[in-house]
Amino acid sequence: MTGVIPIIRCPKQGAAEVIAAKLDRKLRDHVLNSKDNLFSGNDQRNSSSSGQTATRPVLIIVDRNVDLIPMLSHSWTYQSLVHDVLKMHLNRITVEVPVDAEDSSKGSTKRAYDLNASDFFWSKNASSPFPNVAEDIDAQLTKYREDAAEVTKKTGTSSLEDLQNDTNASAQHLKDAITLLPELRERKATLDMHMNILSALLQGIKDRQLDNYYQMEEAILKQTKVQMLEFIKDGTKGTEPTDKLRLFIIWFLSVDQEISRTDMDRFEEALKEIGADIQPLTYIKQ
Amino acid sequence: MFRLVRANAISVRGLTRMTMMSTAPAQQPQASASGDILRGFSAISSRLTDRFKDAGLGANFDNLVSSVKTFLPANRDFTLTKITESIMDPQNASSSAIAKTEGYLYFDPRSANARGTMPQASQVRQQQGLPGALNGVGRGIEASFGQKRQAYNEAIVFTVGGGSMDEYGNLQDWAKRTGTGANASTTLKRRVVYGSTELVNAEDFLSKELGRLGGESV
Repeated sequence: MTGVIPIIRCPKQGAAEVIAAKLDRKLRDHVLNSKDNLFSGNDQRNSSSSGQTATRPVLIIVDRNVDLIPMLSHSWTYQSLVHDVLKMHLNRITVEVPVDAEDSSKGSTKRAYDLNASDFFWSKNASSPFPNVAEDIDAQLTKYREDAAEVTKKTGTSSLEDLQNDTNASAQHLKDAITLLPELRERKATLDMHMNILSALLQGIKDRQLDNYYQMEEAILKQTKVQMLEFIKDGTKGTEPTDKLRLFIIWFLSVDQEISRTDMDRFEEALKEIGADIQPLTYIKQ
Repeated sequence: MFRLVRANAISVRGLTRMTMMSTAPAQQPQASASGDILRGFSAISSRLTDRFKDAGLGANFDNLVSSVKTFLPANRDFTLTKITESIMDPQNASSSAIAKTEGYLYFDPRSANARGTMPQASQVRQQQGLPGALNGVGRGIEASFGQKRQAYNEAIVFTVGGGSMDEYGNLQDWAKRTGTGANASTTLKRRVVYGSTELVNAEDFLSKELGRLGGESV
């Protein structure tokens, strides 16, 4: 990917065009002015071959305005839920973990976790839907337990006679165990962390009733004005007013029908009543 | 510096609908899949419910499971994914998507022709889509016919004014789906890098970006 000057595409007007033009100029200057530039290696090789256009990457720059909906929608993948519910910032999240899993009365502590590509469970499941992640954590925990049991079985001795009978073999097993243990321990820590994250997510999904919102947004075009208003006023649909505001904005941006001034006022009134900050609507309805 | 900027000429709603290319979710046969999900949930429930029983969550868990089990994410491409497809793979993209991105500017920092400035007149001429007039017009930044049909295996997609996890995942899904596997005879591997001025979650986007813009426009 790197090492080749990209072709830049962007819509006309707006910030994207300004950035594209500036970047274009910058890249030109860079190639012209520095002999040993960022692209000198691969670029020359590619320009001499006939199929050069196929190997060049394209840089697509767009303004956020092309589609605001993904910024607000409720999603069902692991990474989206973590981002939304646990407020992931720069790959870091904070999760409330019970002090004692057996006894909830002891309260909970906050623990910070980093999620990155070196985490095998995260890189495998980040884009999976939540239920599949739940399935996988169970499979991985089972596998861990089997692997751990295997090591214990091989090295575990119940009496001294066992050792005396076959000293060499036991030494070999112990050696194996010592090499395997760090991996096992690391895997256990990762799985425990994801178990905590999944529990926190489940709690968040339940409190905010995110499954409801996800379902509504999947069929957003089918929702009528009356249904939307009822949903906003419905006190049983989760604890977070912003979820309703998000849903409303998505609906407003998606549906084709005209929303009259009076309708809009009614929606704003309802949203205000449940405690949502309707300032963002001023921009949306322009 | 590059936050979400105000759309001056056209309303946000109008713009969204203009660029919106999301089709209705393709209904896929999900019978077998929902079975899988149930299995997953019964598995996790045995473990997680134990933990939740103390917290008083256990009773509601079954309700949550049954309400959750019915849906899998529909296989639906977002607008940005469609934009990317129409540029990376114009041959297979829908004509409506191509129509949306046809007017996109074309910068080639390596070519002396596709430079970032051009007189108004030639811009107008090129917009009329005369193939003869398109190629070789000096310093043009409208894409020529050939440039529009050019395909790419690698793309960097960058949104100005905020990016979302969901959009990122949607793009990667598309890249995976159409890269390999979709057609066994091609070994084509699609790579899409997603970038943005900032990755923000919905709550921050509402309060910090849209809220601020809403405050400005009063």
